[in-house]
Amino acid sequence: MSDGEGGIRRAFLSTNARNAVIEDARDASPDEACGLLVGRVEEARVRVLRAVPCTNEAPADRRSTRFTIDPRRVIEEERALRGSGEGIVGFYHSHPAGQPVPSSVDRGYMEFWPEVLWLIVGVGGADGDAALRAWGWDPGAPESPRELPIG
Amino acid sequence: MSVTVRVPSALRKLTSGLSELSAEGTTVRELFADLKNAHPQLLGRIMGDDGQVRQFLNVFVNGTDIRYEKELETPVKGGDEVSIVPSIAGGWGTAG
Repeated sequence: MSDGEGGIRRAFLSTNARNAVIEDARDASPDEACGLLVGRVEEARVRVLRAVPCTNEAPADRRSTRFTIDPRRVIEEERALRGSGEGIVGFYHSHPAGQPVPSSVDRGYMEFWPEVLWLIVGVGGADGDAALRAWGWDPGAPESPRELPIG
Repeated sequence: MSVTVRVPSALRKLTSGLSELSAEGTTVRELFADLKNAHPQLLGRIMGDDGQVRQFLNVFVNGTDIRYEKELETPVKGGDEVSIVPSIAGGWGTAG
């Protein structure tokens, strides 16, 4: 499913990107938030410069546990980024009803798209704190998906 | 006149960094066949062994999803723009 180049090893998030992801997750709760991560890939590290919140297009009665990003939103952002040297380097979503770890359905998408970073935000803690964790899929590695260090 | 095929950021490793390709053909299937020699890895990601577009990926012609047209037989003409787009979804709902 991939070119077998080993996947992403580390993620760097700008302060703006981190804050935007957490703010979107809190605003969307109890529904799942979702969006695009824009930045650059530097060898095995992804540098996220900003986050682009997207509308959760999942059916209204399922948005608390599911998300869908409209592919036309991806086309628009790719068009806006032409010639900038930046690209869509990952995607984020929140788990207001659970932990910031990949679900079985998340893993299906991650396996198909090992070239990108996956951020998952948990906002369901009793103290209201948001927990943000980064994940990547390493083709051929039995432990995939694996958590990536941030910073 | 050729058709422009837009490659998403995630797949540009498979096209030596190119974000757009030119291809010839009168349908999406013909375009992909034209690209296969120069970019076999890219086509391997787009098309499954069953000859259909893979599940986690979308193909748009001038902003319209080919699933709502004639799938791979959707006609194209010179100057059209074909976009390969990640299909992104998920969520906690089916955690297993």
